[in-house]
Amino acid sequence: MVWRRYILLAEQQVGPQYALQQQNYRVLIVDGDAKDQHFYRVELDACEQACFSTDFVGTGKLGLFQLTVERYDCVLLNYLLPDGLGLAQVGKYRQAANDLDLPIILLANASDEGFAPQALHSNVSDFLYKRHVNSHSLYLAIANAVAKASLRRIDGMRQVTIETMNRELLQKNREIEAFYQSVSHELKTPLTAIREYTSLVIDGIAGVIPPKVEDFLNVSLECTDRLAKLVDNLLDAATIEGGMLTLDRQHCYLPEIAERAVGLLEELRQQAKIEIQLKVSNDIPIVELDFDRILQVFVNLLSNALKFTDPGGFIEVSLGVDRQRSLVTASVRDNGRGISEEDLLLVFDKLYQAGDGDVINHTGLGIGLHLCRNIVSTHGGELWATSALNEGSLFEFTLPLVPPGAELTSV
Amino acid sequence: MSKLNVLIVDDDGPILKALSFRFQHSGFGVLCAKDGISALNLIATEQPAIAILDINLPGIDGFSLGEKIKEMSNRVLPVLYMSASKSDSVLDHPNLRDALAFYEKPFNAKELVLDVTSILDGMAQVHSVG
Repeated sequence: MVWRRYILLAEQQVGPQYALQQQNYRVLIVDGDAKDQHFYRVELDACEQACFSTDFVGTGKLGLFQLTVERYDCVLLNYLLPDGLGLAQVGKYRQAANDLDLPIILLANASDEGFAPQALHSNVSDFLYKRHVNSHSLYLAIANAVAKASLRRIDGMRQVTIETMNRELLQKNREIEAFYQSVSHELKTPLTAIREYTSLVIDGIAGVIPPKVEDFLNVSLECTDRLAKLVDNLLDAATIEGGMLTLDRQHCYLPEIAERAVGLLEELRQQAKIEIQLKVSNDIPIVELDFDRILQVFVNLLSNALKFTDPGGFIEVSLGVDRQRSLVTASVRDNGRGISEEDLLLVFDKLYQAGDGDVINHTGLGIGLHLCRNIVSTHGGELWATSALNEGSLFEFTLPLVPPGAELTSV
Repeated sequence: MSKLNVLIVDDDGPILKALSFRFQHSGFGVLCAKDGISALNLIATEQPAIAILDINLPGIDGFSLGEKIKEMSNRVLPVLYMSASKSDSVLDHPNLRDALAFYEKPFNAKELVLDVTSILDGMAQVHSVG
């Protein structure tokens, strides 16, 4: 209440009209009736809340001219003018003033038929019947119209600022993506040569090599492929972070994608001595998905499950459909080491890595699950995890049967 | 019977050399070029049986080179593309959609040799039938 007391004090010292900063309004009055013009002048002069400086013109045409030479805060425009309907001048006046938000208040006599409905549907700032006009109502209408116009202008400026910022951010994103593309290209070019020279030696093209050397070089080859994958992940993360991920949607059968992922990891599965079982509900429809991206999600979830499950363990991939919620559902469950409660909150973070110090078995940039969640959410679905230490993990995701914004076709 | 020549165009020396070893070891003759102009000269003088083009080349890029090859050849010269780039401008390029094959670097060159062999075998069969 401090501010209120301040105003009261100010009123006592300098009079109520100066308690707050007094507004000055420059008003153009367009009315063909000299008596009405006089009436407005008297009422505005009597106003205690604001100061008005007024100009009067008698026709619509003169009003138009006046707006090209002077700047006004508000126009009081009579509904009927000697040279036509005042309402017809609204757009022209704003153009002449070069201000699309110029406050214009329409005034009419009670006998002016059709005034109210027309005024209601026009874009005038306000309208008044002359019989209701007095010093206070004029002040309120003008102050309100000027304030609204001012807010619209601020809103317009904000809109322009937001659009400019948005354009700049998109440009920045494109530049960042181009940078990552360039880095990825520069990294993969020497990798191609490293991979091929290693492969040439393994294949005996440079001469016969001892089996031990071949084993070592095979590890080197695997590491090269892994490095290439990490570069891809980094590029994917940059693309997704920049909002540049575009999906190449096509009609897909989810079990086919899951089977492909299991097939790709077969060698790893055999090495890890882990069983993978695929459980598919028989009514899964064809859905529009980006095959490669969803494959990436399955490969990532399965790789993680293989990494964090001990030999002899078990992984189950389940696929189903939830007709009520119009979703296909997928899950990857393992009976591995599980994730602690605190880590579970972080697994989808961009830079999260399982922190048990086992750097040989647990490699990666820590962006895999972050990427997966982004890929699923770009499809309009959700990905989440439930787990407890030493009790295995369950990663589940859903994908809409119909892509967001698309109509249901044949499923 | 003379060896079939494979034209490899890549501005990266080590890649060019490694792929040359691989194809030579597989019984092919190899022509190497580091840019589009040299590649076009080799096509005019040496009559390769197939061309493998990197896409990001200095001067004429791989796609434009592929188009020029199509225009200048008075016979069919199959073109395969390879690139370390996964940008949309590469992956969505219409020439790539029409291409016989695309290899994303780093790739297994043994598969490339197998593909080249099968493409050239297929062409030889068509010619012998014709």
